[in-house]
This record gives sequence, C-alpha cells and structure tokens, in this order.
Amino acid sequence: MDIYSKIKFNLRFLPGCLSFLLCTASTLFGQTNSTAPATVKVFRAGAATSNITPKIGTSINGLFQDRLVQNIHDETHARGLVLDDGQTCLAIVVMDLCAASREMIDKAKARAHKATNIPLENILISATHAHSVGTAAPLFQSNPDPAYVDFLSDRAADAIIRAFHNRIPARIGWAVGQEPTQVFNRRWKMKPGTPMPNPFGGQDQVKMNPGVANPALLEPAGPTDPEVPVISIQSLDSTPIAVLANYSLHYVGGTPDNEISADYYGLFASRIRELLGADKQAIPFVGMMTNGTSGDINNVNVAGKKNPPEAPYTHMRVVANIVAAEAYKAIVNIRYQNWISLAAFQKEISLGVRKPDKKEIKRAQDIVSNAKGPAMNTSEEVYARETLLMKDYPDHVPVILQAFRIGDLAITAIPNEVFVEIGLELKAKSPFKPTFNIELANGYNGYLPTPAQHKLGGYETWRARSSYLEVEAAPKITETLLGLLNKLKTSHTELSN
Amino acid sequence: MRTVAVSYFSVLLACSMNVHAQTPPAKSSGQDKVFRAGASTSNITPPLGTPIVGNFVEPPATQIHDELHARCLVLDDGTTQLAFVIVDNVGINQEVFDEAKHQIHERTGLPEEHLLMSAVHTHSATSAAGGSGIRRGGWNIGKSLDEYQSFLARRISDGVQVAINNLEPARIGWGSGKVPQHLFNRRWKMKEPVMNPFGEKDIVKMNPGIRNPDLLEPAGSTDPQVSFISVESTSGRPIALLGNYSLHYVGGVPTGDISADYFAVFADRIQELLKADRQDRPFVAMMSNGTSGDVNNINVREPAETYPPYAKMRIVADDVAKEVFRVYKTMHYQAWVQLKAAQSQLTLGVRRATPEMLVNAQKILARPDTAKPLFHSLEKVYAERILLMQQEWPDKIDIKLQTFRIGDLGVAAIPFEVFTETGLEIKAKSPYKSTFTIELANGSYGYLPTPEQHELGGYETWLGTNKVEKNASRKIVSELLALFSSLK
Repeated sequence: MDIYSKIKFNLRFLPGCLSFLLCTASTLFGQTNSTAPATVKVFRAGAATSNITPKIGTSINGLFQDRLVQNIHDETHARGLVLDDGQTCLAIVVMDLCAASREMIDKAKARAHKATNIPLENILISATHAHSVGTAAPLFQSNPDPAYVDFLSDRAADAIIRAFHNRIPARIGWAVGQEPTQVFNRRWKMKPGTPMPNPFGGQDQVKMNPGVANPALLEPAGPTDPEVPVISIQSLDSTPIAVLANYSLHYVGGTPDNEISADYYGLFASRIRELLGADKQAIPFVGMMTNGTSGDINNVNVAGKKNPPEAPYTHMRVVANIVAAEAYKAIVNIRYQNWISLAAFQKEISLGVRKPDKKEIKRAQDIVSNAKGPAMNTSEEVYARETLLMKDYPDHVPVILQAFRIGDLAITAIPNEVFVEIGLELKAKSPFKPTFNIELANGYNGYLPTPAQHKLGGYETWRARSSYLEVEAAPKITETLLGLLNKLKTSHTELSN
Repeated sequence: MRTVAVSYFSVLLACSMNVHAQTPPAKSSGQDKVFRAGASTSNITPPLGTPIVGNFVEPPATQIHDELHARCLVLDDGTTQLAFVIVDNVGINQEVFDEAKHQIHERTGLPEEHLLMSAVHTHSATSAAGGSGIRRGGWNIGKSLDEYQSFLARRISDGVQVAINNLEPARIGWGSGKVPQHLFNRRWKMKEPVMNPFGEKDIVKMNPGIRNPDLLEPAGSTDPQVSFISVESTSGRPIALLGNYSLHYVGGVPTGDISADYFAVFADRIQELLKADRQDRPFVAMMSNGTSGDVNNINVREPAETYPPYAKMRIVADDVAKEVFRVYKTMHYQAWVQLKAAQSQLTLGVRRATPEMLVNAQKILARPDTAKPLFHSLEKVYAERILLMQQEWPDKIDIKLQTFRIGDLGVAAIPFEVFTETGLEIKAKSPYKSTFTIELANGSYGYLPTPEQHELGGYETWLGTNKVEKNASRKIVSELLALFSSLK
C-alpha cells in the first residue's frame, strides 16, 4: 500500500492523505500504566487562498460584449479548504470566476493530486459567478487568454496544496441560516399581450429581468431558496480556520464596466472574518462563499420600487453584510464535532446537445453576414453567432457530477448554472440533512433549466454556449445526484454498523 | 484644467476671508496646484514548486506563509508624477524593472526616470534573476525574461496602473525616528586572519558566529534611522506609508516557505496602528531597504536567541512600526510639495579575477566533490561563479542611479546591496533637509563595499558576490550628490 511512491511532484514530500495518527492512551491522558495502544482518530483541516487576479488589458467575463480590464478594485482568489478525517481527504476550492472550464479544472486537480495524493474525485472546484473577473471560459464575445487559463490551473491547485499543508487538528460543525431578503426569481410571467420576443424570431412566455416596477409584471416563474448553509471549522483552541458558506444568488454586480472585483463573494469572505474576530491570525482564516443553485435568481426586486442609482460597490457590500450576519448567527450556535468521517463519489454522464437545425443555421448565417460587425451588437446577432458556434458541437457531451459527505451533511456539485427548483428538489429528496448544492462546479455546461422552464422560454433557455444541454438534462442530473447521495448513505450506514 | 482653476479660486476665497484675522499667507508657487496620491498592491506570489533563492541552497517553494507583493505609491504635484514600487524579492535584475517601466511608459507616458523600483531583500522568495542556481550569476541582459520575471514585470506595471487609477487629492508628510536595537554590523574584524574561498587571507569575517572567541570588533557602522513618507486623503484617510530602514532582512523562515519577511509584517502592523484596516480604498504600507549590505539582525556578542519561525520578524516589525507611529503622530502634513526626479547612467568597470584566482579555481573544480576543501567550504561555488563571470560579463557595465526630490526630502536609489557607511555618507552630504536611500533599486548588481572595506575582505567583497570595480562606491556617491544638486 505504498501510496507515496506515486508522488513524483517536485514539491517537498508532504505527509499524504491517509495518515491515521496512532497515539497511545498514555500519551493522551498522562497515564503510565496503560498497556494497549488505542487508535485515536484525528480530524484535521486547513485552508488557504491563492491569488488569481488577471492582467490589466485582458478580458472580463460576464456580459454579451467583451470588456478589457482597466483597474483592479479588489484582488480575486481561489479559496481552498482541505478536510482530512485521517483516512479520507476532501478538497473544496471556490474561484472568483464567472465560469471555469472542465479542462482548466482537470489540470488543477491533477497538479493538486500529484502534490497531496488527494484522489481526483475528492476534489471539488467551482466558480462563484462574479461578472467582474478574468475570463476563464469562452462566453459570448469574451475569450480567455490561454496563459491565464494555465495560470488558473496552477493557482487553483496551489490553493489546495497550501490548504493541505496548513492542516491542523480541527473540529467541524454546520448550520443553516435563512436569508430570504436578498434573493428574487428573475424570470417573470407577464400580463397577457405583453410582447416577449426572443432572438430566434419567436415569442417566449417568460421574461428575464423585466425591469423594476414594470407595469406588465404578472408573477415570478419560479421560487427562490433562502437558505444559507454554513460549514465552520476551527482549531481545537477555537481559532477559526475556515467558513464555507453557500447561497443561491447569481451575483450582485454594480461594478464599473472595466474593473476587476470578486463581487459580494469576496466581501462576504472579508466580513465573516471580521465578525468572527479572525483578522491577522498566524494561520490566516479563509472565508468562502459558494454559489448554490441560482441560475434564475438575482438580487433585483422588480416587484419593488425603483431605487435611486447607487455608487459602485455599494450594493454588494450591503448584500455581503446581510448574508454574513445571517451566516454568523448560524455559526454561533454550532455544536462542533471533534471527528466526523468524509466520503466522495463522482459520476460522469453523457447528455445530449440542443444543436441547431439547418433552418436555424441558415437564419443565423444571414444575420451574422448582415451584421455591421466586427462585434455582434444586437441580441439577435449575438445569438446568431452562438448558433454558428454551436453547430460544430458534438451531439453528446460528458457532464461531471459529484457528491461529498461530510459527517451527516452532503454537498452536490453540478457544472451548470442550475435553476433553483432543482436545488430545492435535491435538498428535499437527499437522504442527508442538511444537503446543499454547489453550481458551476468541476466544469461548465451552461444553464440548467427544468423541462417545464424550457417550455416557458426566456434568456436562460436560449441556445448558446451558455445554454445547450438537452431539455431533459435536469431530471437526468437530479437522478444521478440522488443516486450518488444514496450510495453515500448506504456506504456510511455500513461503515457505522 | 478646470479643477485646478476652481481650487485656485477657493484658495483665494479662503485667503480673503481670513484677511481680517491674520496676515494673508505668502503666495506659494504651489498653491494653485492639487497634490494627489494613489497606492496599490499587486500580488507577485510565485507558484509552488519554484526554487527559493537567497541562500546557497535553493529548495522548491512548498508553502506560502504570506503572499508576496509589489507595493506601489504614486505621487502627483499637478505637473510631475513619481512612482515608488517596493517589491518582495531578494534582488531584481535591471531588465525586469526595465520591462515593467517600458509597459508603464507605454500605457501612461510616465518617463522611466520617474519610476523607482526596488527589491526589499527578503530571502524567502523565488528568483527574479533569470533562472536559478549558478545561472543567476551569469550575464542575463538581453536574454528574454523567464516566466516569473515576465509575470513580475507585468504585475508591477499593473500595480502602478492601479495606483494611478487610485490617485486622489492628498496631503504629504515625512519624518524619521531611531530603532538602533535591531541592527548589527555583521562584518567583524577577527583576531586572526581568515581564509577565503580563493585561498587569500581576509581580515574580516561575515557572520562570524555567536560568541566566536576570535571576535575583535565590528568592521563598520549601523544606521539606526527609520525614515518614512506618509500620504493621506484631504479628509484624513490614510492612503499609504513608505518606510525605510537599513536592515538586510530578519529571516526565521522554515525551509520551503515563501514569505515577505519583516517588510510585510511592518506593512501590516503600521496599518493596524494607523487604524487603516478594512478601508474601502485599501491603505498600502511598504518598507524599503536602506543601505544594509553589511547590517543584519544577529547580535554575535550575546548568547544565541531562539525563536519559533516568524517570531523574530514580528518583534522587529513591531518595534520599527511603533517608532514610525510615534513620530507620525507629531508629523505635519503639507497640502502641496514639488516633485522632481533625475536619473543618470554610470559606467563601472567589472572586477576581474586575478590569474592566481583563476588557477586556483581550476584546481578547486578538478578536485572530487568528496575531497576536503583546500581553502573554504564555499570554494567550489565561488570557483564556478568567477569562471562564469569571466566568460560572460562584459568589461564595463552601465548602471542606473536615480534621485527623487519630494519638497525638501531627497531619496537616492542605488542598484546594489549598499554598505551602511555609504548610506550615512549620502545622508550627511545631501543638500536636502531630510534624505534617505533605497538599495537594490532599478537593478541588482551585487554588493557594494567601500574601497576601505575591500581592503578588509570578507564575504561581501568576494569576487562573484561583488562584481564591480573596488572604487565603485566613491563614483556612485559622487554621482548621486551631483543628481541631488541638479534637483535643487
């Protein structure tokens, strides 16, 4: 069982994952007459950040049009957490990116695995979905700088390696807060007769971001998920090590067009550290906000009143402070456990691609050739270009799905911008309570609406490199994830027996 | 131009309102100009796995204890902009700084002479000298930058761009205090001459070891002065503080760790003292290295101190920050000062090995690695270094010398690890009321002993460690004083 012989990484030898600590009872309790050594399970955890700020002059992800970085408002990071039950390690990284490609993430996992021996399926790497960050995946008219993508692989891996290195004996606990005030379903059914044209020449039954106080508003097309699950990890002397939170909010925004900012995710990390009194620690505390299932959820209350415009960065701070306060409220009541067991399962499934047909391709070609260019300006032009880029996609794509068990808590990881009802269903049907979901994880396969939402149409269903999986993708993904969760449950029960 | 006109008008208005209460202030040439400042940090942490330089072995980085940064401060008197960039590295080759300056000039038009860039001299960072090992002592000018050097140049230029983006109306002040207790001249005259790696006898030994019974006396002085420049917004929010202290570095870093040493701890601590944590526009502090080529933190006269990793640098940083803060509280800000910069190139001869040294070098390298050294445990390293220098280095090099004038404060920048007595001489002879020096600035060409110190020998004078003519410090001081006078 010489797992270390596999490590051929040029880093100093790191004690690998799978290192049950053997202590004798006498060392622990100061007794001298103990005879039999006992195995004491030690739970360890470490966290670290790794800087991923893009170069000035390079592409910013998030809008239809490409924008170039002119200023760094706040640095962007990969934030890493490694948990180690003595036998199994799990690594979770959340990156200040709009979306992260499977290729970049797989390279990161390989580098991290080489240095730490953490199995690939035990590593979860996700993007926050900030819209004011470096471009890591081609979206609309933004294309990544290949050098930046390589840099991201190294940096994501380094966040894990550094977190792995920082492991110390730790205790862990979790809780679920409720913050309904900052989430709004952004897809609206409109009053009969309201025109809802889509860029393919048809009409939708749903409008995304219909505008605050739009008189034609009827009702939201879906629910929201107010939960703020938090996992809190501290050292045995109660020094905070990390807080991993999860909230189903697309992002906040309010940044000038050419500025880099980690959005409310970065501010949450800073604010929760402040609330926990964890500034300036010898081993720095790491706060992490992961994105739940927020494909159709934003922070704009269109049913409310029109507010005067706010200064840049003001609103994201309000949201971060409110969510951090709720997370903090949940954290203070956590009962920590000195040891819990960890497990992970992963499964890749093949899903169909909604490819354009000949007629659609012809229409798109006409639009693109008539566009003034070079950039596509109208949404018709933008989607025509996307249609042409989609025509060469394969008929099926692999989709990576993953589930982690942390004691009695479960996390699912989905490489999509997932509609909130899918997350709610997973939470309801999961054999673990609590369960939460991390979207934009381990790759990027675009929006994931339910089949019912596909019928309603609207932005998130419009075919593009940001929305292309088959209409039935959501139930297949849900079923696979529930399968992984049940498998985790069965193996856990066997372990406990 | 409109902003300038408006502020001029408001100055006039303020004067006329005060006219009955007191004599109107004398008209100053600067009163119609707005002084601005902006600061930023730019993260330069290397990837794990790259070699850490500063010692004779170069272990790969396995852990980042604290992030490395290029810390930028841009000052603007309305006509002239000056930029300081203080970089967490052991020493940065001129071509890296030149690339960063070129990028900044392309983007902003700022002339190179107005950009002062230096390395702090942390010994726990990766190489910015083009490659690792013996290669770092080669002649790398004209070669394309390696991956980390390119990254560093770009991060520096991005940092300066962000500092420029952050420019806002500001006040400026400066001052100095004294922190003598952490400085020790590390070169000691010994009771008996000591053999060096070239088979010659030195009078001086660097780091002779704690309580070495052969200690006679330190071969040089220390400079206890800690100087600083502080800028705040017109509403009193701290923008940046640039410190300057003549201490090589502290260390106490485990093998394989990346750390910015006490320089970054100082930045963090002064930020805490100024209550400038968590500002919406982040406060930026930086510690530049003065002239500390021969000054370290080890008191060889007293029994050895033992500290856990990172503990000593915290103590030093805390004491230096507290002294800066003490003076800071009594310091007066000025609403406007004039900014000026001057730079020149100085040609220096490259020191060459003597025929005896070359013969010895060949002899040393011919011996098996297992053989007992002929002269010194580092003789093979130095034999390789001098042969590489002999092959690759030109006979003459051009180095950059630069001075800034900030009101009646002068700053001199030197691309060497400068001996403290040279810094003290510049401070004493400077035409300005306050002066400090920044070493390892705009390049990195090794140690700069004075001719007198060359006579005494010791590590810093060894060929390979020192690379330029023995009279170089004299020429440099005289050129810097001429530059200072040109700005008067």
